[in-house]
Amino acid sequence: MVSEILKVDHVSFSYQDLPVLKDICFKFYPGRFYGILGPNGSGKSTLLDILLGFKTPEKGNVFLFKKHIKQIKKSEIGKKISYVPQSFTFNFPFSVDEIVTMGRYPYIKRFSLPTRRDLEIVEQIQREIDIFKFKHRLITELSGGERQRVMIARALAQDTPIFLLDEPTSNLDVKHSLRILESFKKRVINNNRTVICVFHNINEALFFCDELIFLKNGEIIVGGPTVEVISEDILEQIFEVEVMLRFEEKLNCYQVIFTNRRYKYEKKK
Amino acid sequence: MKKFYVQLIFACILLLFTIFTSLSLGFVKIPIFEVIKILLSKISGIKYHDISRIHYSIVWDVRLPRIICAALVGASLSICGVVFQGILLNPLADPYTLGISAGAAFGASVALLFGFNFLGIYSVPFFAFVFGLITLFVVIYLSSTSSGGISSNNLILSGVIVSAILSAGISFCKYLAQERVSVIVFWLLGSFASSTWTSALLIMVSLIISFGVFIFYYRELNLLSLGGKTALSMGVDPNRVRILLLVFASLLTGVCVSFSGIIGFVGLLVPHMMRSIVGPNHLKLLPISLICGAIMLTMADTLTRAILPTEVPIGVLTALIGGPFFCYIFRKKQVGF
Repeated sequence: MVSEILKVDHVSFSYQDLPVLKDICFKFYPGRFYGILGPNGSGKSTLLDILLGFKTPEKGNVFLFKKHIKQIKKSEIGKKISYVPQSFTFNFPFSVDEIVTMGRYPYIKRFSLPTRRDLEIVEQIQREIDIFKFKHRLITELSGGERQRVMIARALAQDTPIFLLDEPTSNLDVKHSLRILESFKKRVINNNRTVICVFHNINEALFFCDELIFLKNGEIIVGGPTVEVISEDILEQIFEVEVMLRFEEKLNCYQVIFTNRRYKYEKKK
Repeated sequence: MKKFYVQLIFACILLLFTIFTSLSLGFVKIPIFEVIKILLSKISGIKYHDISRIHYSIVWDVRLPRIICAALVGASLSICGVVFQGILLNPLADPYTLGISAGAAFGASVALLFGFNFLGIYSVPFFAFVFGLITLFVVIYLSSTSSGGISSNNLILSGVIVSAILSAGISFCKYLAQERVSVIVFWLLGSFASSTWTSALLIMVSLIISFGVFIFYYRELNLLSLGGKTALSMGVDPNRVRILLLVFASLLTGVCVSFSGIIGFVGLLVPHMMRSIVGPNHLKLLPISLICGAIMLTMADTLTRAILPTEVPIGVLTALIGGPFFCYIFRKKQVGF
């Protein structure tokens, strides 16, 4: 049995008096793609913040590689976890190339220049994420989707065991969404990486994730291997809409269609 | 990187040229060759017999300390501007945004009003310095959240509030001072006229230490511009780095304000212009801002000392030139791109 890479142990968190996470327990293992799903305000982003060590839980602990996350030096975090935020603002005109190269900072000594190997990694990732053609442009001049791809490339360049992604495809077109999720999936399978990703698009999650965690009102309703936890009932309970779940033989995964039968029915009446 | 070294060397040459020109200009014109000879004789110890003692004294005892002080303060304010902008993620931030200058000015006003002089001529600088630092801690205290985080928006907002209170305090000091108000006003306007080698040395030491700290953390500054959370995921402790850099930037600002009074716009303008030349990478931005800040303030001080018919307070001059120039850049940015 492989030992867990990240463990959340009875974690609770609240903003002022508003509880956001209630007694969350979960273990993450290497070589798996995790999807976190849930309605708005269910605590998905807060959970990522806690996994990253950015927010400290009121109760409970987070263990990274069996060590308490507060005991790990901040400079070590850069070699273990990379993070792609949901939204970001850029106030300074860094070039695309500069930002992706920042992903290599944790491995480059202070005041040293990036090695040839660092630059090779950066270039390879820029090609993979399809940003190589505008690598000399300034981040402040790019569109939302292009910026998001740059931030994803930066995280990939960091090449850490764990990737935390907060709706990484929210601004992307279909082609780039799939391309990027495939890049992460490839690293999960080939390099034994762990990806923990908040999804908005349930079909993407069903296609890419090995395990799903459904959050609602700060609680894990169910979490486990995708085929075991997914059902029409659970989706209807979480998202409060009617769904049709069907297994797509070609894709070898479930896909979901949202319907609105009840609404139509009530309207007719 | 190669291009950057060329730019940096060019800036250094320009700085030396500015200093030599400034040394020869003034009420008494001294040819540049004589200036060089005087400096050479001082440094190497060789005696030239054709140097007049008066010129020697003017260059070495009067002009050079003043010019060096102006250059050092310009350099300091510029790199503080770079750091404040980098931490607050706001290209419009400078030592004034956080209220540190206002705090220092308030301290000086109080000292001048009550005529404190237990530290001799260093009483006013001491008060300015201490109050600047207290202001910083008040601002940090106001903006820190219960979970121990500091957001840059909170910092700016707290800075503005504290500045407003302190400005009222300064006005009140002026009101209380009545006929002695001129002392406070004169100090607040800023001047390098009373610069000595001692003050130059003190600013120099603070500048070297702070610059060392800033350049050591250039990567953290770069990463912080991607946002605190992303920076954390790349191995930066955002709060620790922010506080550390704020303290050093405030110390340096405090030292500068305490010797030269309030000199605005240098810390805002220089980083802004340099960012458009060398880009936002702090490894390049900090050294080039250091040199160009020195050039800017030396030029401004020379202008008021030697070229204008009457000496205009340096703080007024930088605001009068820098302000409109900044408006121009700012407007161009809004309509450009």
